[in-house]
Amino acid sequence: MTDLPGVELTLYPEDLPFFDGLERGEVVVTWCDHCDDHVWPPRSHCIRCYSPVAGSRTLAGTGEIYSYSVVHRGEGVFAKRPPYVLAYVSLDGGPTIMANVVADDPAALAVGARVRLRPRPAPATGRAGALFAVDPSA
Amino acid sequence: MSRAPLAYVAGIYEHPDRAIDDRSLASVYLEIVAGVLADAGLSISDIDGFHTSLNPGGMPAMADLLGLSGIRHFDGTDLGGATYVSSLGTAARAIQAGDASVVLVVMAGLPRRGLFNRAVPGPHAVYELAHGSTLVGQYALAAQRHMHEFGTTRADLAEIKVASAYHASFNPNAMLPKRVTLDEVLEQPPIAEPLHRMDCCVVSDGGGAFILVNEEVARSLGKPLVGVVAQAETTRNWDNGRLDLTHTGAIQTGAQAFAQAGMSPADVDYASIYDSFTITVLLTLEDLGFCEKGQGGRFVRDGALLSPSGVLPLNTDGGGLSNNHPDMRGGMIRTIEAVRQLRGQAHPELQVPSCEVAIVHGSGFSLGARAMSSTSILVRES
Repeated sequence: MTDLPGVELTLYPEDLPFFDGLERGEVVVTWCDHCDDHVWPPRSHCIRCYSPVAGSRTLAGTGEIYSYSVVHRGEGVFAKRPPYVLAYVSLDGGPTIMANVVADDPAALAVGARVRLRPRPAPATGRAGALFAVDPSA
Repeated sequence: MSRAPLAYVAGIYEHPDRAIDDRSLASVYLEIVAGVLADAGLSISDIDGFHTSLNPGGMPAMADLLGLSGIRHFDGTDLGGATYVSSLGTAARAIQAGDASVVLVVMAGLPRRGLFNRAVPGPHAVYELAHGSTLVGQYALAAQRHMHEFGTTRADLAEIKVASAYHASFNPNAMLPKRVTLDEVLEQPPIAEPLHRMDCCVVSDGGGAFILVNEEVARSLGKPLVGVVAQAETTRNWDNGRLDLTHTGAIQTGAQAFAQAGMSPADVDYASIYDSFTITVLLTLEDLGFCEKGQGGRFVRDGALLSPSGVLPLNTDGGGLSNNHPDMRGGMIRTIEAVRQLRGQAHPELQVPSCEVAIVHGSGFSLGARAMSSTSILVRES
């Protein structure tokens, strides 16, 4: 289930802290210093105060599953592959983001389960998304 | 006491076909407009307002195709499945303002040959595509969260499909006219868990139209008077990463529409709720106030949605789950069936007796983030 494809994405400067962070094994979110809050999905401006966003923050890389779905009919590069877990993960100290999840013990996959970022090797082509592993110690 | 209608629905037409292989989209549009003009007893030269959503060539190409001239009011808004329910409001308000007197609202689509009229991916897309997000997956995430918070089960969702299929069995044009049992729904293969095949709407060709008119025109046509008394719309967002998948914009649009109409859910005789997926109906019923938040699973049990015996007869044409789903914008056909019920023209076995108040709700795009909602209340005037 960890064998997820890379995806060809058109990325702009505001997208790079997050996707570059994943390549280093970190969860990085854009941050509005004025509001002292994350900006998610990443944007060039904070949607509360509309200040330009200059900074980012590296989070602990842990959180819990807000919801998940085992997807049997993927599309695009996810088509014709084994089922994979699409999820929303509520990050500790950060936003709820879309992600993939892997559970070494399938029975542990549940809403509310604790998860930790599982670094992925760089894909042959495209970019890797955020992959979390169920980890009761996270 | 409900308020006077803003405008009246003078004509409706639903294309009978579900798979259209050898014809142009243009010819389907023309056939639908011919049908709705005949139903209303109007001619193309009477039309002075025009609504249609995304199309090849856009609004001007469609106006040219249909031979529309002298149009004073346009709307090409795309709210996904909430489109056309929203037109009941925008066209009615244009009629109230005197900007138009006869508004044609028309749509058609041929998705079975891969022709999808949809927006290009938005700025959020990279954060979803990177993880293999699919449309079914996004609704599945809402369903899973609802199950977690409120104990809703797959069998609860299946009740919605069972009612839809029962109604479709009376519709000779329905794409899936066969009744199904709860167990048959539960045994379908998973698409994105917890949603399985029969939790998902069909993909069909076809389309439909309605014509909205002012009171003077409506009274001149000698047809049953179906009026629009309320309409509200809104959107819900990712809310800067504070996602809430168990509440929809229907909380706002339902309350607003009932307040406009001077009514409550108890006044509703028939409901047309866009059923892109079974979970869409469940969330909408809760948020419109037909039951408490979290109680949707209990509400839909025991035939509650069956017509005419249930507490809330719903989607008596079979809905998107069983009848049709042209252009992936279910708001049109939901509206048409509500008008049939108010006219007394639904299938005799499914006609709600003395149907005087109908609610129509469309949900567009996704749930939680980028979620459109539009609610209208229609009444039969004597």
